[in-house]
Amino acid sequence: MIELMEQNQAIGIVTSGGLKENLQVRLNGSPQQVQEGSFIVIDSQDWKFYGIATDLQLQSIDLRYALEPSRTRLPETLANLLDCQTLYTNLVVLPSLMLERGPEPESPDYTAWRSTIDSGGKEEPRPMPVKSIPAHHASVFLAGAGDVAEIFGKPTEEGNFVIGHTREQDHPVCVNLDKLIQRSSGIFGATGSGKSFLTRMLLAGLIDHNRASVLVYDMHNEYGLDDTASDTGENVRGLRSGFGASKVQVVGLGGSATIRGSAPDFNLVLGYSDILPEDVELLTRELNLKETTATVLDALVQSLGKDKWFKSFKAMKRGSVIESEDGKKTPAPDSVAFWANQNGVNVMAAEGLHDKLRRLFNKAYIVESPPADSIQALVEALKKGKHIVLSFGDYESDLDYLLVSNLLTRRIRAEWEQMTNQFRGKNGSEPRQLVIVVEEAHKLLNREMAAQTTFSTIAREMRKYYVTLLVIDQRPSQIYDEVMSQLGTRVCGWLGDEDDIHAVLSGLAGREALRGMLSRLQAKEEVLLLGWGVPMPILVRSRRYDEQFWQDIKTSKKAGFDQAQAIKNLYGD
Amino acid sequence: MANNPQMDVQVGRLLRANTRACVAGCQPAQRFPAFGALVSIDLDENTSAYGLVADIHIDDDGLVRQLVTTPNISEAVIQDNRVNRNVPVELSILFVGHRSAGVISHRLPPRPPLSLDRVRACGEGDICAFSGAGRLGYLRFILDAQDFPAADLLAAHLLQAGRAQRDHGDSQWFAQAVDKVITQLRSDYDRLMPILEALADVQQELGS
Amino acid sequence: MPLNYLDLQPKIRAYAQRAAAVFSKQETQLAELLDWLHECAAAPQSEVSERCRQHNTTRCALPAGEAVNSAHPAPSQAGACILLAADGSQIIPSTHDAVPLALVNTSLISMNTAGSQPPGVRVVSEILEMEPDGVEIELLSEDLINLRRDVAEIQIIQAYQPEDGLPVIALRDGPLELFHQPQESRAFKNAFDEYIHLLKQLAARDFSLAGYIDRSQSTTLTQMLTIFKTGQPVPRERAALADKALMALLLAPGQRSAIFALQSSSSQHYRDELAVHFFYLNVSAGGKPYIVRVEIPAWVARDTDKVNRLHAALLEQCRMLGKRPYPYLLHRSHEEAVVHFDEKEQLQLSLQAELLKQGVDIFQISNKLAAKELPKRTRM
Repeated sequence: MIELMEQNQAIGIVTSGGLKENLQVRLNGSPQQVQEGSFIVIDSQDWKFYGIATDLQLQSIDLRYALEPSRTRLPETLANLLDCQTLYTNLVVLPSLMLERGPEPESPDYTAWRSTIDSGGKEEPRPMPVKSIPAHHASVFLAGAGDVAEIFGKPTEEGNFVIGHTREQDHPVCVNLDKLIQRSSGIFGATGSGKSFLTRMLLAGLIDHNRASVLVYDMHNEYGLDDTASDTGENVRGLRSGFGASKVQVVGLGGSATIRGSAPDFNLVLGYSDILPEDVELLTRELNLKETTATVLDALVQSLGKDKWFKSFKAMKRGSVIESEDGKKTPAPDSVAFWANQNGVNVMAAEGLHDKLRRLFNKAYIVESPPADSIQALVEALKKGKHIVLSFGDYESDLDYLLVSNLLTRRIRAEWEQMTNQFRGKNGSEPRQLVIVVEEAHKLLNREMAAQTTFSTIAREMRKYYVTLLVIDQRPSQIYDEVMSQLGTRVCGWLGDEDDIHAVLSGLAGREALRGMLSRLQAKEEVLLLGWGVPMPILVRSRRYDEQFWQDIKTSKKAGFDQAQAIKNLYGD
Repeated sequence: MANNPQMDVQVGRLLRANTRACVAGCQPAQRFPAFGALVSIDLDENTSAYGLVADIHIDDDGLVRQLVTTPNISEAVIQDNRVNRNVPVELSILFVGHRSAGVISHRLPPRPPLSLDRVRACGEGDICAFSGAGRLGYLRFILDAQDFPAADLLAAHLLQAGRAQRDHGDSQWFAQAVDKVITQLRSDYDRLMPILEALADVQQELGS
Repeated sequence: MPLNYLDLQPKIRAYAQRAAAVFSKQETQLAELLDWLHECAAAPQSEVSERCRQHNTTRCALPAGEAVNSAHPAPSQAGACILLAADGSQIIPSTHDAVPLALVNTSLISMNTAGSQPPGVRVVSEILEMEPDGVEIELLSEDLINLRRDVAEIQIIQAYQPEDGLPVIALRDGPLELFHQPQESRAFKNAFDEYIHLLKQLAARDFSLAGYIDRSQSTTLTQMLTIFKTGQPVPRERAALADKALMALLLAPGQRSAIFALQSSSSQHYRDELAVHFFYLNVSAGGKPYIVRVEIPAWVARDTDKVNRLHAALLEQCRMLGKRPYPYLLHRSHEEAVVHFDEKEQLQLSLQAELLKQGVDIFQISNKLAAKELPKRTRM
């Protein structure tokens, strides 16, 4: 009942504004009843408008009323009466959506309006981007649970995942998971902003919803198995712990890898033949490769074959010579220089590349003959609807991350393209939707790398092939603009850097209004939902990733929606 | 008679009038209504004008000026000058509304009263009825008054009406009236603040 | 037309020079008169009276017991009494008025000198008619109207009913001895008879009646001294000095003179207790003397208490008006009685309206008056 009453209590009236310069609302009472980011509803005749609070300004009818406290001249009662009329707070609302709600339900006009819709003479009204503005003096409310549900979906509906709650009134805010996976999306936030918890939670939601397989490149071994929170020291449940190995499999990199002392469900070991020249090329920066690398690699493939070049090149010796009878030293036949001379490649370039690739040659997870095709096994698992957390175990270097994630993604891309083509050619079943979760995404998707890696292609094009990305990053400004612009849903925690804020907001309406809001988000508590995947920007107090969360998941109760409590709220005890 | 019999206390008769105000004369011996008091004047059987005592004139003359300099002036002489010579005491009355066929309106009376019409002091019941009708629109007459001390007239009236309303169970009336005053004058800081300071004293007297 | 100041200038100067010479001469005469006064006081009063009676048509003072050069200080206070003051005003009919009208307006104001209640005020207005049953068309003479006003003043005093047993002092503005002698006209005779009759009633009620003359030009005392000294009254060609100038030399502030009886051609009408007496009183509180004449009937003059009470009451009343001493109540009765011009206008209008109602043609103001009443020049 309290909720309903609050919903009906107008907090102010619209006084001015427009689509371009936002709406100005004169608040009835204290400024503290609204906070930046509050979800605001405006009732204007037959329409409802939805927006968020982007600013609060103290105003006065005459500046002197503000400069001289009335209490210094008047008793409290009179001072209050005076202040009520002369001092006020202006709320700036960024309007986002409008919904035709029709005439008053009791009126004859409503019946006519409704029957027009029912007879197909008019479309069922649905929220649409604002194309008009509310009238003067339209009443302004803080959104009630019904309003939030109207826009963001009901927590009880399939596919709606409660990501958090509105800040003032604690109404659950949902993200539509089906929509989320249709396009690539991103989770951003500075270090310590609660990004990992948010990701865990969203992944749990996706896995539970099970409309897409999830592949997580878990660079820091955070998501698969249980972990300990760095700040509270409490146990944090991993996805496999939560869902069990039948749904989520943890894959360890390397033959005998263990993750936090536990054995993974299976190991990923790469064969020499899996490494292609392009895998090496995208490590140019990491390995400090020279410009001649491409030429050398090309010669290696040409002379040694695509499957064998890595093995052969690794087997070559650096600097081995033989001495002729006359005492002259020449490159030994098994040396790099010998091969270079034989193939017309600059010896120094070849030797340089060999030196630098030694870091790869020494990786234990790259072997000549893997016991099984673990990449294929992983792909198959994904195709079958399993969810994979690829833990990098001890291989936490950028080199490992770049090489493995790219190599794997390349394979996946090829596989899903093939599946899709077969499906479209009526020769196969519809591919399983796949979400690839990329941590530290800027390492793979920066301007320099984006052109080379598979990830940018996925972000741009793979929506058609049932593969999308979920990028997680603390430096969104480092991610290539073109990729950022493709991210449909953006979930953003606190960001301090202006460039990062700018990057997250790129391509969105009302950027200026949202900018300040992002910089004032409360770390670990609040996130801003933006972009195509959400009907309108909204600030939510993020849901807690705790045992209760898992209880909700396990009991299939839609998170954040307690039916018993809802009934109690509506009808009292 | 158009008014409630309980307030039938004649205080004087009309000397002159226009549509906005009138002047009544009364015997100084009697207790004439205080500054700011609500009075009514029957215009006909169905209509009464309501007004506030906005000014009270006590004129001097040569004799009084001569007497004030005289030491040991006897009480009889003082009374002579007060009672016999100062006739009539003139009350300026600012119209603030009227009652027509039992309905109170906060607009000017349809016509001014005529010479020698009786002026009556309103009782508490009538004060409550008048001040409680409508939305306190009549306060504009006070605030717009050009020839009278508007701030003090308002304070005096709100004290009288505030007391009556409080004693009849409406302790919020005074605050509502102040709110109305603020609404009317909020864009005029220089006028509003001194008026509110005067009303602060009234509030203290009302104990609200 | 404005005055011709150019012509007047030398005449003003000459007038002032003559006046200065007269005043200078008067000072010498006054000193001589004062000597005579003292001589007269030394002589037996019967002898003085006898000499004066030999000129019984001459208006003069007669000794009445007190030494003629005596000065009597103010009694401490009047004590509680009722003080009455009567005054009247009149409208003299004019042939130029639309409705020629004679009216007498009389007021009486009564005050308990020891009380704190406001004085009582009574006003009586009377339209005068020649005949008791006719509309006055013929104009009444100004003299007769004045007489009727004097009668009305005494009448309103006589009508006063005191509420308690306090002594009553009744003041009127002007002399008790009327100068409107009974004439052949019956109206005059009737009025005068009524006046005498009323005085007798007041005597019977023991009211202390007094006529207060603020600016007396009387020469009765000068005449008495001149007759006493020279055996003849002041010759007609020589103006007698006013008594008040002599008294100014004699009376200190608050002091009254001796009481004198009055010998005049009309003395025969005021017999016994009505016989007119008088004394002079210096009402000044200090500084320059201000001498007024107070006329009292014999029934007051013979009663020392009444005289003392009157003396004290007059001084108390005069003190109320500060530096311009005048009995407060007399001023008030004048205020109440006076008919202002606009009131006269109002009365005229009422009378015209009533005459119209009765079908009588309205009289119109004269053309002369109409011309006088044309509006004056106005400024744009």
